[in-house]
Amino acid sequence: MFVWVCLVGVATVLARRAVFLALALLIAVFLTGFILGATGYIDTIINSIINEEVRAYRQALTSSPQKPPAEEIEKLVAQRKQELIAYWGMDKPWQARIIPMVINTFILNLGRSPSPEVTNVAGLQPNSLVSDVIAACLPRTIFMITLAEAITILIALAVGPFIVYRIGSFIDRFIVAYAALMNAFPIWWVALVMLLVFSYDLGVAPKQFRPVVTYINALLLGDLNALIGVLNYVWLPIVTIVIVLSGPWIYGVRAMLIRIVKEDFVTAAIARGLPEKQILRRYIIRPAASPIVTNVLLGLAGTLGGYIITESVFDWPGMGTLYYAAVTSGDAQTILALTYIFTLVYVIARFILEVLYIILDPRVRL
Amino acid sequence: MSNVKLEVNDLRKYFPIRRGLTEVLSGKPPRYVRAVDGISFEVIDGEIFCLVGESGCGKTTAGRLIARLIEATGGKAMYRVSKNVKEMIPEGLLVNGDYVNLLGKLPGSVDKALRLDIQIIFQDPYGSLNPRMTIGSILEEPLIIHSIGSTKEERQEIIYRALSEVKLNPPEEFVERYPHMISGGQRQRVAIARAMILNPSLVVAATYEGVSPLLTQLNNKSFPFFPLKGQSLDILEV
Amino acid sequence: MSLLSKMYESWSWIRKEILSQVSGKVAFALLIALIVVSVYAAILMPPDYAKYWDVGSKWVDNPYNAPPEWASYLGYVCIPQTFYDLRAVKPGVSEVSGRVVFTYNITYNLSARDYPQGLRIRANIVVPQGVRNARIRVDVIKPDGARLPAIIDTYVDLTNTSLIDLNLDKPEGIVTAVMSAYRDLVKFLSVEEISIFPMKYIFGNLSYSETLKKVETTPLPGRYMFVIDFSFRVFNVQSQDILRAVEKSKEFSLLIKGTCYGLMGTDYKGRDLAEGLFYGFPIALAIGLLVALASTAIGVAAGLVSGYYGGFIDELIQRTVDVMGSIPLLPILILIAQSIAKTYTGEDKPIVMLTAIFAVLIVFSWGGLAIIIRSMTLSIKSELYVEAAKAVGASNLRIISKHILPQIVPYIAASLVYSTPNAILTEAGLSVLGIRHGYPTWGNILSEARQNGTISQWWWILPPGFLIAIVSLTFVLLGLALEKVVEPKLRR
Repeated sequence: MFVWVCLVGVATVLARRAVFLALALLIAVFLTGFILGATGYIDTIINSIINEEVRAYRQALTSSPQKPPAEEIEKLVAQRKQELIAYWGMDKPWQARIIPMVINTFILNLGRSPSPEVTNVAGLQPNSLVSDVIAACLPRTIFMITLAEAITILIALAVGPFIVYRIGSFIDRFIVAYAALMNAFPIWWVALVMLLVFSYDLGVAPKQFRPVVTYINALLLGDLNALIGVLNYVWLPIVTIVIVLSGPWIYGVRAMLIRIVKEDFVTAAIARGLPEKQILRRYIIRPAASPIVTNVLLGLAGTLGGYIITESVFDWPGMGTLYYAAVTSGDAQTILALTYIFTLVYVIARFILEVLYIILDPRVRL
Repeated sequence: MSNVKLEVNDLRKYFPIRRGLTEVLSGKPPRYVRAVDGISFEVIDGEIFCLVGESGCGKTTAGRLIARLIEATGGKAMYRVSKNVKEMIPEGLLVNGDYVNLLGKLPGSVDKALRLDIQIIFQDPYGSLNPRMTIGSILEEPLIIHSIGSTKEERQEIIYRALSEVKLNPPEEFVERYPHMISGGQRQRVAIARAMILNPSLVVAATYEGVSPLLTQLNNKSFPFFPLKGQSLDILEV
Repeated sequence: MSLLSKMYESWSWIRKEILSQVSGKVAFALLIALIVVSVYAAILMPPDYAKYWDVGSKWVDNPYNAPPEWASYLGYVCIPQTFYDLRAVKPGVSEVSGRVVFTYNITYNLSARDYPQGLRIRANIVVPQGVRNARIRVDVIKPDGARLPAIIDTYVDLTNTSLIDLNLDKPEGIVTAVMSAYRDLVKFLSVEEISIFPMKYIFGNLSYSETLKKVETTPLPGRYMFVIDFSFRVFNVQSQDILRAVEKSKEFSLLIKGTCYGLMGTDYKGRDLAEGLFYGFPIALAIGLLVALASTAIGVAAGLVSGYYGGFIDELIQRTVDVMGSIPLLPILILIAQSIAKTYTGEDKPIVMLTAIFAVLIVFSWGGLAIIIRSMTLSIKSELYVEAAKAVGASNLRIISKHILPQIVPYIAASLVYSTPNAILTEAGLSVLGIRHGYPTWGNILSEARQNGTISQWWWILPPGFLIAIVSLTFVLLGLALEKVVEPKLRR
């Protein structure tokens, strides 16, 4: 009975959180749709597509062997233009076009991508399914950025506790200075410099990163030899990200742990003469788990859509480059789909965190 | 004119307890902590009235209710306002000529006017003084709020007088100091000075004993901050 | 104590705290330097700087893609800009039946093994009445003795005007000149090659390569003689009059463009990067501070209202911050910036885009501070002295401004400092991505470098990013030093 009551209580809290997280998801995608429509961006793009087709059609007519008379041409062209306008839905205001797209995105009916730049990033044919395009690009981001972030986190979690015991020492001050420096340097600029030095000057890293796709595809199919190929391409971006991100990460873990180290119950434990490892494990890390886990999950979730510029600098064919290609070519379907995916992953991460909080932090339990 | 300064009837303050979901669903009535559960008393002109009880019995809460720092759950507290304050209160709120119910919702201007009449001295002298303000600013605050003293010099004079009345001499030294720079007893006296500086006619003293003698002393001198003689000072000690 | 002396006291206390640490010292020094340079640049900035940076006419004389002058220490072959003011040169004068000829012999010493980027003759001369036409012809005598005749040969008709306004930067006659100077190589010379790379043929040693089966050029250092014939057909005019007109003219010069320029080199339009970077300082600071101030102000206001008044507005603000935290900022920002870039056609597009970017940044970044301020407000609100202030009649406004606000000032300062680099970095990041707003920021320079430059033009690509990093670093270090002020628990 008691357990049942607890569960109902937990369920209410979680349900409430879920509502707001879902709200965030809704707003994110609708906002994207709104921007596409209200700025007239999507209209501009479609209009230029229509005009291009009409122009090509007229060209075809005038250069065909049985060229019809002038008024006939105009009539046919006008007719074609009407057809195109109806096809693209340009006879309706943007709301009538965008809103169905947004709703479709929510139910994961993501449509097709009309933009060759977008499908090019994925390595697929134009007009492929958006879901295929995203599925193609996702592993590339995961193998590079998510992996790099994971490595950074592991380093931070190893170094953080080690540092916290040696506050004020040389190594500690060095770490703090390093973190400050890395906080200041934009990651995409460090990436540029790394490219300059390692790819162009020293030649130990590739200049083009698109070929990594073949190796990743092979690896996913089970060919383990492809791993070497992947590593050859992926090492420079990963090293760059790890160098830049580990500074702030270690600093963050250190700050979180310090708060706890200064607490009286830790001082008491040290005074009692408990060994360092035990103090760390039982007294420090347990309370720090909550904020650390939060940052870890959110950090990993944010790797999908948060490194667009870095991916662009490396010309890495992942989710970031995909998004940028979609934005520059005005591919509404892909833009909406990607926004949805980015937000969805983040929202799911936050929901998982809510569940974890209840397990980890006894004060929150009902 | 009755000589009853304050008449409290059936004063009640209940604090609601947070309920879990099951309780709400089970339809049980909400539960409360009954901090003050129907007390009644009278404070006659010129007297010191003491509410006595064990710690945690609700005396301070009662004092807060009278001082209009928290809202009451029920009851009436009819207070006879002094002449100068009576002018600032609209006719409709006055009962029996001079009485106002302290426990109802009153407009902001009335509430502010009542502060000139009713003041409170807290149990914790350090907590009730803002540690980041000088003694001078702490004492100046009530004057500024109620626009007493039109120039800085005038206000300063009033503050100096208040400090010497509570035997914090020389006042020029004390105005520059911060609360952590003076002793606990001195802080208590600053709290008294702050309460008295507006020349109230009812002081709620939520404090330890030892304050009363000083207050009585002040009472007898009828505290000449403003030439309002003939006004009696009542102390409600909780 | 008066308000000013209070402010001064807290300021000097904060300053002492900051300076007591290494990070604080460095940050403070950098900050002072930053402010000084920015103010200096802001004062010197030409009006309408954005347009000025974009328009090409100012930069025409500079070499393109030139590394800085000190690049010679790094092994670059550096040819300096050489400018001859021909008004100060005494020409040889000859008068022959109705024609006056001024002959200028200019010696040019090429000491490095590279080709100058170009040459240019500019003339802006008002000639006296009676001058019918004018002609400028330039011959080059190379160190190897070869003479290139009439690499420039221009004729100006002066019957209806007395103004000679010439800007000659293309040696039109180069092909014929080379052909006539190197007769034995004529059949191996490519007309196309000579037209595209005239400098190589003016300043190079020509030789036939057996292996490549064509004429090769190698830089030819040595003494060059430029023979400039400036002739006039006249009717009743003395040569001295014309000479005086030339000497008093607005401009008459020969420029031989070098391969290095300035303190930081030039970009693909020949723009002096040192100037661009210099004027970028106040702009960067303005961007960073503007966004930081706005988002801090909103965050503080929201936090205060939320914490103090509670209730519905509190729930609303908290939920809003919660929801906004889940929306991905970078994708939305890119989308908005790009949409405006592609659809807005007004004249003020740069400023509109910049405003839109700022607006999005501000809207998305006030949330964090609001939550912190809210919790601080909640805890202060429950303090006894706040209740005491209420007891003496303090209004809500008074309590917020006199009791709560002074305590959260360190957090506000820390937030300002911490969030200043954000806008600068984001603006630069967007530019690097390729979304150009056109306003002359460091990010703009970076984006042009990425788009139009190659990775080998390090002087173009690296400095802007480096400066952005230095400015960020200043604020990061300052924030680090302020941390100890704000959170005493972190003190050692």
